[in-house]
Amino acid sequence: MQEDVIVAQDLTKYYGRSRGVLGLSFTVRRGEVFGFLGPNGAGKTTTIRLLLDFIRPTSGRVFLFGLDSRVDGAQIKRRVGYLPGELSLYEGLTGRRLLQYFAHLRGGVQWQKVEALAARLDCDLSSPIKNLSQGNKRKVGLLQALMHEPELLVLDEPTNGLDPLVQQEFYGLVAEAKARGATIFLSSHNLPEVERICDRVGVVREGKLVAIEEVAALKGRAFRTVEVHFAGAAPCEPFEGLPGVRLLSCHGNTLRCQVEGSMDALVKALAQFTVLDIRTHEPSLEEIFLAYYGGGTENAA
Amino acid sequence: MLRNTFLRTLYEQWRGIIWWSVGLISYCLVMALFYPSIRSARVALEQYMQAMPEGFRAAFMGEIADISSPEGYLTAEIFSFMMPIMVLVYAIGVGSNAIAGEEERGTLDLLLANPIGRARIVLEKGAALLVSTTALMFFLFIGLVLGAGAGDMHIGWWPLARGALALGLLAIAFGYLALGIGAATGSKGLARSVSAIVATGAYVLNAFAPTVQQLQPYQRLSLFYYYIGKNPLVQGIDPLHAGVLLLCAALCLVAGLAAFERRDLAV
Repeated sequence: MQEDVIVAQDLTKYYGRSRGVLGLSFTVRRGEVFGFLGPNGAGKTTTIRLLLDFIRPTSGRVFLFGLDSRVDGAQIKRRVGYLPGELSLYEGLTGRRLLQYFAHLRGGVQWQKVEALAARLDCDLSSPIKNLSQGNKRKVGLLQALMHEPELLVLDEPTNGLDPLVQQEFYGLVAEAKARGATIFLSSHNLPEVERICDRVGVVREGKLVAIEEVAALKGRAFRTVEVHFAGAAPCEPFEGLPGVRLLSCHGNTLRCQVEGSMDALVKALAQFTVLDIRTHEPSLEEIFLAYYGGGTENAA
Repeated sequence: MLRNTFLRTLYEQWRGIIWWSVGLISYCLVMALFYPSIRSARVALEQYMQAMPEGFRAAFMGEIADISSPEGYLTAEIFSFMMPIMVLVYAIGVGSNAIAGEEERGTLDLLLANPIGRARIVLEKGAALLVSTTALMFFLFIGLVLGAGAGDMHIGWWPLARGALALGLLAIAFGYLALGIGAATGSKGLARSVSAIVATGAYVLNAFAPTVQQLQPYQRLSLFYYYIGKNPLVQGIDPLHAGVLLLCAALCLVAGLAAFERRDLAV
């Protein structure tokens, strides 16, 4: 079995003279959930459209399941489920007709499973799509991506427009797909979401891939923010220059600092004072990225 | 069941086809009801026709010997001007919508995420346009037959069928032109306007070529010439002319398909 499900080799795409993506190279391994993270306009959708051969790279190549996306399109798409970011459905059809149509185009879809999944998502299949709410349309979109139990799911901003309950249900579906061995490539600008469901994450900014990291490794590398409340005025000097501790603020009876690695030095230094409360929080991926990649995610076009 | 893109496309169009058919049949009936009074005013009408500027007559009534004969009347009132306009509006509208419409609405992404090639989609869309145009021409034929009865015309069904068939071939040629441009560019507006301009130009060229000497050598560049240059009601359908229309249709489809295969899809 092919181990690398997606291989992108030095992908570059220009639209006329404006930049799509520049020299992207990455691999997505079988069975992993890969998050493609970046602000709007960074090139996430361009990358996804390149993967699916909707647009052709200016240079570079894409392989899915070891097949060239330019040559073996139909064979590849049989094994891929796709949810576009801007979902447009055939408004005049009912959800059921639309899904049955796509099921026929694909062949081999077990219809009872589709109905069951629709019931689980509480998705209305009998109304014309034009009468559905945005959330219900997204559900129909999810169903068409999942109904043939594809080996690879390509999801562009999948939880956009889903209410929180359905979002939870969606995370469950991703976990199930992963459990049956599917590979998932999803784009997002929502860090907590990526943090929650992804194994690895690639960060794209202004068309370039700035980092690819294991989510676990990133978090392991993490610092913590510690906030200490003292009985009296907060002493500052003893904490300046402690190994692994960076003082953030120190006024009134509160001290805030960042600790990387072991807490030992800080705890030992605190021991000589009367401490009322210590609060720590684990950083979000967002904070980690800001720390490692120097912020500025919002100045991308 | 919507088993494929061909059937889905027709399913989305059937209401439109019904309404268009009602319109075409009504038009035929209304025009036919005027026929008895035209026939009884034969002599006066002939004088009136003679008095008309030749170019005007050729442009809007076709080259007809006798407007008070059923063939002449139908050619003048239905086949030379009004009906081609209506049917071409339909064919160009549907053709430009086939690929470019789906692309502009954004549904093409999801469709192409399925394991079917781009060429297959163009061909199925083309087949759907062929079938819906044929259906429309069948209803036009029904309208003509009903009209011939209502207007007490002495004309067989066969000349009427030939007229509808010839118009159907013209419609397919322009429908596929619009489909091809839409597939090649992704722009519905461009497909629609270019096809409409080509159709208007072809109409004008064919209509005025007999009376304007400078245009005469170019008449054969007009697709209208192959539709009505030999009157299908009177002279029948020239296989060569029908072949030219079909060939043009096929070339438009194939060229559009080839360009569609190569280009980027719009978001």
